[in-house]
Amino acid sequence: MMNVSTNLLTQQLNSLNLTLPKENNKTVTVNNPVTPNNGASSNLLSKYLDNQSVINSATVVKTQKVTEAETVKPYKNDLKTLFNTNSAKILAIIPRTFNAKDLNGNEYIEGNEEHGTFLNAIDRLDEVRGNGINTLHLLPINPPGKQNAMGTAGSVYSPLDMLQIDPMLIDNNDPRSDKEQFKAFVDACHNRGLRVMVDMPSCASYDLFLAKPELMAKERNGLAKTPQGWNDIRMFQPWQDEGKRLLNPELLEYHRKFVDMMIDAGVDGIRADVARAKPVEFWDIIIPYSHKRDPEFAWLAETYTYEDASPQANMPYDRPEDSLRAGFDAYYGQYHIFHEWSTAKELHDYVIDNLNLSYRVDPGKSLIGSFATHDDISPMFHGGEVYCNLTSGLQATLPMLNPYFVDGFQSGDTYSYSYKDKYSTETRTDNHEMTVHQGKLDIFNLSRKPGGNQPEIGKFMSECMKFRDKYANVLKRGSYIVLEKKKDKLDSVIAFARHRQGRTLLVLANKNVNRPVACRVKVPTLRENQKLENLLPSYGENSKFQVSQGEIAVNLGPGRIHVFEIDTPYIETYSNNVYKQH
Amino acid sequence: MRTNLIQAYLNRTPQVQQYNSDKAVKDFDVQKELRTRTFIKPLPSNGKLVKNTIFDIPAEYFKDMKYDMRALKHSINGEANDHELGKLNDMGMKLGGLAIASYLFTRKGTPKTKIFEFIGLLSFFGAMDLWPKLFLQLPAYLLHGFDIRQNYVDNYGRKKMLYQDHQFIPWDLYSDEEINKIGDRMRVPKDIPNRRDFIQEKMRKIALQNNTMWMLTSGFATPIMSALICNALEKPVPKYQGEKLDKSADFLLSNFSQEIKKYDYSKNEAAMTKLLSDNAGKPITKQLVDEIHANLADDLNYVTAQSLRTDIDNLLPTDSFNFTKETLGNIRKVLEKNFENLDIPFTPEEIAQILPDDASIMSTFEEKGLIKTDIKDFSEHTKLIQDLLDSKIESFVAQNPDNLTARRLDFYMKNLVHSNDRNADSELLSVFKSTQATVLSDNTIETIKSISKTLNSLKAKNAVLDEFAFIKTAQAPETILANFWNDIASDEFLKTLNISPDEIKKARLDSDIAGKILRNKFEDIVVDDTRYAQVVEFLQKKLSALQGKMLSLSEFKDGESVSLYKSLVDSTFDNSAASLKAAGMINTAENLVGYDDTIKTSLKELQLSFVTDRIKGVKSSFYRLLNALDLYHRISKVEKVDILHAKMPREVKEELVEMCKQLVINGHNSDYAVKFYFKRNPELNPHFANDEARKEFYSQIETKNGRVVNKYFGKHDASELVELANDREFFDAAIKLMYDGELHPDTIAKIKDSAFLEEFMRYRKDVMNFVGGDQYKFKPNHLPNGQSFKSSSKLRFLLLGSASDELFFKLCKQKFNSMHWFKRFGTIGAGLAVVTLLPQFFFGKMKNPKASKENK
Repeated sequence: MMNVSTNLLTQQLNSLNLTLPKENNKTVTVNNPVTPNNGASSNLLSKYLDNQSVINSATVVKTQKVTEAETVKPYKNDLKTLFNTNSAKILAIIPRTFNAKDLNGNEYIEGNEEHGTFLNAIDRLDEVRGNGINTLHLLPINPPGKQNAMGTAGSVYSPLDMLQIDPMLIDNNDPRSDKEQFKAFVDACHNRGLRVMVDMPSCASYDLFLAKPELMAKERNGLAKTPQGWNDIRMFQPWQDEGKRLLNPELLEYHRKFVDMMIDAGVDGIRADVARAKPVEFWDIIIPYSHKRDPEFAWLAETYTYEDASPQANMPYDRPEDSLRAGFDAYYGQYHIFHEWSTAKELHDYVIDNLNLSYRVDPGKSLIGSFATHDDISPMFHGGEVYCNLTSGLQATLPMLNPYFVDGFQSGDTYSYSYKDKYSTETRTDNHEMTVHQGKLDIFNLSRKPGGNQPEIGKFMSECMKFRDKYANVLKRGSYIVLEKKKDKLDSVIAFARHRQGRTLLVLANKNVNRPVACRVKVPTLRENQKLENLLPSYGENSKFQVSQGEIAVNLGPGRIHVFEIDTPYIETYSNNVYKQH
Repeated sequence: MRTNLIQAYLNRTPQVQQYNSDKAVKDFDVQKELRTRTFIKPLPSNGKLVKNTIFDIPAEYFKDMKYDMRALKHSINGEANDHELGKLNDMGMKLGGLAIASYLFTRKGTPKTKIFEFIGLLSFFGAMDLWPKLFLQLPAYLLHGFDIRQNYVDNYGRKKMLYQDHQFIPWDLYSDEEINKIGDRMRVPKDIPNRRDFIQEKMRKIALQNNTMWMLTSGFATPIMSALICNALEKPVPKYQGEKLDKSADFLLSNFSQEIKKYDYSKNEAAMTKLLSDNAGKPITKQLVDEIHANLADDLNYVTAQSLRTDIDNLLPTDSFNFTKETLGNIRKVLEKNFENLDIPFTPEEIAQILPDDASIMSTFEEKGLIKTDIKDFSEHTKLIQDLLDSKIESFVAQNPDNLTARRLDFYMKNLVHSNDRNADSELLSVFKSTQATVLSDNTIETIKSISKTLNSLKAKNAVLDEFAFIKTAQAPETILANFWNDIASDEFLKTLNISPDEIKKARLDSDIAGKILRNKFEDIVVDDTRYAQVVEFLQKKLSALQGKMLSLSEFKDGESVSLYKSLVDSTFDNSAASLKAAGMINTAENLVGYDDTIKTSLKELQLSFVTDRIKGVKSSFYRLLNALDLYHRISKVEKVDILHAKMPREVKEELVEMCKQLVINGHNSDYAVKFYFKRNPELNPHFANDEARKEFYSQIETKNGRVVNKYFGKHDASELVELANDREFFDAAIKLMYDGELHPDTIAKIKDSAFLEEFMRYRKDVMNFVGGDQYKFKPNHLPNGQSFKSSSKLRFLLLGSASDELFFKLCKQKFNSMHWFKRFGTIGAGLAVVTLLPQFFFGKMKNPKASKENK
C-alpha cells in the first residue's frame, strides 16, 4: 500500500509520470490513469486537486497487449538502391512536431495539447505517401540536452544521449516501450512504402559532454570545443591522435551502437549531420559495419561543397568527394543556394560539376534536391508559390538527384512563429527563451505541426513526383543536355533536355520569379510540327511557345517550369553539351 | 527517519539508459578494426602552397597581372567576387598613388623632386611590403622554421595568404613531413600525443601574433621606413640623375646640328611665305610690316625685336606715296562729300561754282609740277588745294553777296585740311596718301625670306645653347654646377675635415662660430702633413672633376677659351650677324654681336658670360678654400711667406698674419672694399736698447701646432688700437701674403698635375690685381703691384666667391638638420624594429602536452 502524503510537494512529485526500467523487456509503467491537466491551471490548488485524483487512482495498470507488431508485413530495405538510382523522394520531419495538435492556435504546444509522437505520426503517413514521398528523413530522435540549451525543448541536434530515444516521442498512454513505439512507427512507414532515414547528430549536448568526456573534443584549456555559432552543442573528438590519423575507439563504439539501435528498429538509413565533423576513416568503419547488418542500409551525408579550410571555427573542412568515397550514398550539395544564382548557367555548371564528380566516385552516388532544408529559410521567401513550384519541377527533372522537401513545404509554411524569442515560464531545458531561427523550421521548441495555407504547392509537388515516377527511365538515368539559347540577355531561362533510349523530355523554366522572359531555345533535331503538351500542371502566368525547325521561341511566365516530351531520338548526336551520370 | 523529499525526487529521476543491441555483428570489434584495417584517406587538397624561387618572380608577376586584368573585366561586368575586388582594391590603390604621383610630377620643377614623387610612392608600397618581410617574416622563419606569410593557391586558383584568417587555415596543404620538420625546429617534443595538432596550433598562434604585430606596427613603420628609404636615396638618385643630365647636356653640343632640328620653325616660315606671296607686288602697308615683324620676332627677346623693327622699317618704308590721276579724281570726290556733309542748302549748280573741277585741279597741279611719285611731304599739295578753294569761294561770295551761308564756307572747308584727331591724317591728306609709293617687290620678298631663315636658324641654335647653358650652369637646383657645389660641400667634405657631430651642432648656430671652428680645424690640419695632403687631395679631386664636367664650357688654351660651347656660340652669332648684315639688318646684327670690334652688351656676350660668370663664381669659392688652406699651411710652417721680410716688425707680421687668416675665411666683398679694416698698434717706433732688442723686434713669427705664437699681437687693449689708414705697405703685404707669391710645395705637390692648376694660379693673380688693385677713391694708393686695375663689383663678387665660414655654416646647418631628422626617425624606426623583433622570441609559447604513456 502506498503511503499518502499531504505534503503538496510530495503530491506534486507523485504526480510525475515515471517510466521505470524494463523488466524482461516488458515495460512497467507507473502511471496514473487520469492524466493531470498540467497546462490548463498552474496554481497550487489546481495541482492539489489534480494530485488528489492521481493519489486516489490505481497505481499500476496492466500493460496493453502489443498488437501492431504482429500485423507488420515482411519488408525489405532498399533505400541504398533508391539513392543509387535517384529514386528516393524524401520528406524531412521533426517527429515531436510532425503531428502536434496546437488546439489554441498559439503555434506552441503547451498544457494538455498533444505534441508529436511516433504513434500519432502514423496518422499522417498516408498523407505523406499521397504526396508521392517514399522516404522520411527523421530529424534526430534522441532526447535533447538540458544544459546551455537553445529553446524550451532543446535543439534536436543537441543529444543528451545518442543511444536513447527522446521520451517526448513516446505516447505514455501506450504500454509499449520507447523502442517498441519507435519500431511500430517504422513498421507503419514500411507498410505504406515509406523508407525511414534517421538523423545522426554530429555533436553532443553539454550534458553529454559532461557525462561522457572520453567522447568529447576539448580545447587546450580543457574547455569543450564548441562549433562556432552553435552554443548548445559540443564537438565530439573523432581522433585519438589527429597527426597520426588514429581514431577515437570510444566514439566509434558509441556510433556503432547508434547504428545498431537504428537497424534494430528497422530504420533504412542514416542521414549523417555535418558529416565532415568526422574523418573519412571514421565513416570507413561505421558505414561498412552497417552494411554487415543490412547491405541496403543507406547513408546520406550532410556535406555541401569543397572547402580549402573550414570558415567555421572548430569544424573541419567540407569535402563531399571524400564523404562519397568513404561510403555515403548521397550528399546534400548546393541547391540550397539556387535562389542566389543569378543565371541559368550557374545551375547548369553546378549540375555538370556533379555529373563529372560521379565519374570520380563509385557509380550511383547522388544528391538530394536540397533546395530548402531545415537549415534554410522557407522557400516561400524566395518567391512564394511560384518559386516552390519551380523548385518542385526542377527536383523532378534534374539528373543525379533525389527530391527532398521539408515538412510544411507542401502547404507553403513560412516557418514564422509568433512566439519567436519570447520568454516562456514553461521549459524543459535551462532556457526560457523560445529561440527560433527566423523563417526556418523550429528545431528548438515544441512548435505546431508544420503547414501553411497554400495546399496547391503540395498538389503541384505531388504531381511532379508522379510525373517523375512516370518518366523514371528518362529522368533517373537519362542524359542531361544543356540547350543553347538566343536573346536571353540575363540568362534567366533554364533550358535542358533529358534523354534516354530515344525518349526526350524538354525542360524549359524561367528562373526569374518576378517577370516573364522571352528567348529562343535551340533544340537540335526538333521538328516544326512538334506538338507541345506540358506534362506538369499549370500555375501562375501562362507561357507562350512557338515551334520552328530546331528551335522554340518561348515567352515563359514568371517562375514557370514546363516539361514536354518531344520526338527527337537523335538529339544527343546533334547536341554539343551532353552529360551523363556515372 | 524522515525521508528527504528532494533527495527522493532526484533518486527517482530516470537513469541514463543506453541502448545495447543484441543483434550487433558479433565478430566486429572496433579496436581490432583500427589495428588491422587500412582505411581510405582523404584526397589531397585541390589547393597548393606557393613555393616560388626568385626565378619564378617574373612569371608570378605576370600571372598576378593576368588575374588582376581578369578581375577588372569581371568587375566591369559586375561579376567580380570578393577576392577579385580585394585585388582590384590593391591595384586601385597603386594606380591611384601613381596618378597622384604623376600629377605632382608635373607640378615639380627639378628632376630630383620629380623623380622623388615616384620614389616616395614606390618606397611607401615597398615599405608596406618590406616591413613585414624583414622584421616579421624573416625572423619568424629563422626562429620558428616556417613562413608566416606563406601563400597558397586555393581551389578556385586564387592566391591568398595561408594565415590571413587564423580560423581559416588549410592545414592539409602541409604534409606530415613538413609539419614535423617545423615542429622539430620549434623543439616540440616528438613523443607527445597529437603532435601535428600541437604544432599547427603553435604555428597558428605564431602567425596570428605576427599578424597582430604587423597590424600594430605597420601604421608607424610604413611611413618611417618609407621616409628612411627616401632619405637613403636622396643622394645616390640625384647623383645618378646628374650624371645622366650631364651626358644629355654634352650630347646637345656634340649633336648640335641634329638637336637644333627639334626646334621647328617651319610653321613660321610657311606663314611668312604665304604672307609674302599674298602681298607680292602690293603696296607695303604698316599692317603688312607689323605682320612681317611679328613673324620674325617670334621667340626673340625684346631688345633684339626692337632692333629688328628698326631694320624692318628701313627695309619696308611706308612713308612715301605716288600722286596719280586717280588721286586727282578722289580729291574732287572728297570735296563734294565734305560739302554734302556740311548740310548747307546749296544747289548742285552752286556747288559746281564753288568747287574746282577736275580739269582745273589737274592743270593747277601740273603747273606746279606736283604730279610725281615717291612723295613724302604733301604740304604743297594741301596748300594748293586750299588756295584753289579759297579763290573759288571768294569768287562765289562776290557773286552772291546776299548768301550769308556762303560767307561761312571757308570755315567749313577747314575740315578738309585739319583732322580732329591729332594723330590721324586729314581727309585731304588721306586722299594724297591713298597710293603707296613702295610695293612688295620680288627682291624684297627674297630678302625677307632670307632674314626669316637666318633668324629661325638663330632661334633654334640659341634655344639649344640656352638649354645646354641652363643644364650646366644655371643658378637653379640640380644643374651640373649646383650638383658640383653639393658634391664638394658635402658630408664627405665634413668627414675629410674631421668635423665632429658636436662641432656641427655648434657651427650650425652662427657663421662666426662656424668660421672659428673652421679656422681651428684648418690649423689642426695644416700642422699634420698627412691630413693636409688628404684635404688638399680631396679638393683637388673635386675641382678636377668639375674641370672635366665644364670642359665643353671653359676649356682654355693659351689663356683663350677654346671650348666647344664658345665655338658654337661664336659660329651661331657671327654667322647670323653676317647674314643679317648682308640683308641690311644692321641694327639686329649689332645687337647680336656688338658694335665695331667689341662684343660688349651683345647677345653673344651675354650668352658667353652667363656661363663663365657662373663657373667663375663657383670655382672661386672653392679656389678660395684651397688658397686659404695653403695660406694656413705656409704660415704654420713659416715657409713661402717672403712678404714677412726681415724689415717688417714682428708685431706687424703678427697683425698681418692674423688679419689674413681671418680674411681668407671670413672676408666678404665689403671687407675688401674698405681695404681690410683692421685695428692695429699705432706705436711702432721703439728705441732699441741694443741689437738684440732690434733683432727681436724684427724677428720672424713663431708657430706652434699650426697656430701663431703671438709675441706682440693681442697684448694691447682694444682702446689702444687704431686703424692705420693709407698704410699702403700693410695692404700690399696682406693681399700679397694671401694671393701672391708661390704656393707651398706641399700644395703644389698635390695639384701640380691638375688641369685646374693654371686656372687656379690665374685666379690668385686676378684677385690680387682686380680686387687688390682696384682703384678706390677713398684709398687711392693701395695698389699692390703699383698698377691700377679696373674691376666691376660683379667681377669682385665673382672672384671672391662665397666666404668659407658661410659655406661651412650652411653645410653644417644642413647636415645638422639631416642628422637630427635621421636621429629622431632612425631612433623611432630602430625602436620599432626592436619592439617588433623582441617579442618574436616569446611568440607561440605553449605548454607542451605530456608525452604519451606508451612512449615513456
